[in-house]
Amino acid sequence: MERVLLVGSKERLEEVLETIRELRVLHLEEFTGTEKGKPLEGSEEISEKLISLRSVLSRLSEEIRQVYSELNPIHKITEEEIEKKEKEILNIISRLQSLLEERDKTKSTLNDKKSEINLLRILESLDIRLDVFHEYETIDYKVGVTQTELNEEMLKSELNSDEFEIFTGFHDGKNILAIFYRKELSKSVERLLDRFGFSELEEIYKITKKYRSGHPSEIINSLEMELHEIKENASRLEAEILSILKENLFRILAYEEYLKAKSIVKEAPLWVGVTKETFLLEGWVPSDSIDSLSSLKDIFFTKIEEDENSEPPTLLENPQLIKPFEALVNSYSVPRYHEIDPSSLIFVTFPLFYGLMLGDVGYGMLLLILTSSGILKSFLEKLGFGSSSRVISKILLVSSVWTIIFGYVYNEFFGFEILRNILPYPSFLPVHRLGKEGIKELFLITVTIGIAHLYLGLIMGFRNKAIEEGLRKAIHEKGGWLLILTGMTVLVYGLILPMVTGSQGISGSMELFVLLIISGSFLLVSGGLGIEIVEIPSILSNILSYTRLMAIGISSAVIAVSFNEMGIGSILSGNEILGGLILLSGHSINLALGIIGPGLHSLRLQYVEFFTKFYLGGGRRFSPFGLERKYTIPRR
Amino acid sequence: MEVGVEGYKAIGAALAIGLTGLAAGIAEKEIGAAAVGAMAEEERLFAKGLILTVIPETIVIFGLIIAMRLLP
Repeated sequence: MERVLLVGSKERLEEVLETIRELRVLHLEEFTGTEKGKPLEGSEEISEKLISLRSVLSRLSEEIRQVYSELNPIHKITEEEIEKKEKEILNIISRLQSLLEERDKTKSTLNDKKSEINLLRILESLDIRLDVFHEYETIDYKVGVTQTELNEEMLKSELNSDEFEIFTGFHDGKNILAIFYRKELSKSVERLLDRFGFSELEEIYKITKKYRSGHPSEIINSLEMELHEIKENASRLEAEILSILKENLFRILAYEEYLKAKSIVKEAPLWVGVTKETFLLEGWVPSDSIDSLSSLKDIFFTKIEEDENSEPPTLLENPQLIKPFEALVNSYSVPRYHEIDPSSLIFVTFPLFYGLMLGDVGYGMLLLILTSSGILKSFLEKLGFGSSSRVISKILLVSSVWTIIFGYVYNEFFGFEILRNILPYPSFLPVHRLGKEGIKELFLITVTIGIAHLYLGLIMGFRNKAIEEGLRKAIHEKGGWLLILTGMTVLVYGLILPMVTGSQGISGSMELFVLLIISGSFLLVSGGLGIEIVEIPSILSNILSYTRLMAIGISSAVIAVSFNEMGIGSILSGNEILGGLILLSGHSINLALGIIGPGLHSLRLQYVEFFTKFYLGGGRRFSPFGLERKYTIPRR
Repeated sequence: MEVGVEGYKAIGAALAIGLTGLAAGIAEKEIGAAAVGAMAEEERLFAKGLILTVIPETIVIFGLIIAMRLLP
């Protein structure tokens, strides 16, 4: 990464920015020192256009997704063509805008009519004409829902009067009551209704005011006719929107990209220093791309010495196969510029751990098919994982290979131990995960893997520390921890493992353990890191944490075997369909668990056990000025 | 019915795993809730949230080792 300064005549700023935008090699830094520039002319107009276009696009997101999947491949458009047809495109967009407005209006009338029909149905259940709901001088009325069914006799005795009339009905599981009474009675009627848990339906009066006469059923009929028309209108609108999109989607998306490309150039001067006649533009360029900047004519171009205050942005460069694993590192933290990029290490250990846990040829092959065919990717996209879907799918693709390899080691095919009958095995294989001996072997293997992983982490931590703060510091800190890790290793192999396997411990290991821990602590304390001593037991828990590689694997194997026993049991007792269903659904559930569980636990071992030994992160990602062109071809 | 030594061992092993699992669950529930809350506000806290959430998990592994010690 090189820090560069570009200086040129102010008049040429826009042109220079446009060139840099297409090169996509310069990470722009905010210029400090002189006055900052102002957005270029026309920037407001462009951002206004962009905002209104984006609001249309976001309201159409559902339709766009639908149309997009049908239109393949992408048809790119040149910027010249966009400029030539800008008017036409703007017309299409405003047509879409008015269609959207109309659609919103139709939707709201549709909802209004529906709720009116609903209320009218309530009145229909009372079987009264709307004419009765007048404004009377002496009579008042109420319509509402009651808890219990009421009858006239009951009310008569309660009110001591017969100067009222009620209508009752039943709608949507509720008792409906309309009561007409003399105004003098209103107090006692209200009190009485309260006792019966009456709640008034205020909305009904809107209906009775709107439709003053006729029977509710008649009005419902005419409303339903209207509703039908409105629905037809709505689907006509939807169809028109879709047909416009089908014809013009790429043009619209290209126009958005065109505007975005323009707007970043117009806004960029806010980051650029200016004097009366010149501009000063500062940024970072990857060392191997520096030549491409020299294509800028009549621009003064120079490298600046790195100073201590400015940390360069980090551009991770890994082979295509390892690229997806950068996402795992970045989601922890972006590496600093001088730090080791752990992506390639994770590329080895993450899938390895994953395979160790899932370890089943059947699941592995299924996962391989799901990931390589893109089924998993599109499934994740539907779940809303967005751009991470591709990354997750690729990581699982690599992991599935290890799953198959360890499936062979464990002799498991969907939980059935049948591979041994088909494939040749060396004498030390298979490791039978569900037997006592196999568990002990796996315990030893996983702990050993863990210790190796921790050593690797600490050694890299030593390297980072030595480069950044000198060898002395590295020996005190990471050296101390290496001694403690060695001590814990002695403890694990000499005492804990024999304890678990039920054999005799190795004599003298306790003394060696104590000696190593004390000397490690001495290094830490003498380096001024006394407080870190409280962390010593965590190294042991780090080592033992790797036994999860065994434990989680066994649990997934046990689930598979249990479903097999249930399924095969049903099939043998003559219930083939049930047995088949058990096998199918059981293994689908187990595969789903098998994708999530081992994935998270493998990641945890990287983040918690491994990264804490050497990795700090906190860098800035290299993000070059410019944009990824998907729908447009830039002007020559 | 009498419970033999093997039986007690099995009960002990079950307790070791069961209780540590329960304890880890209780500890993780609050951390997890807070972590999800933090992630909802800022997605890049995923890794930190994950690390904090899984810290209590280790006690289950201790339980597992005790169980394996009890049932050789």
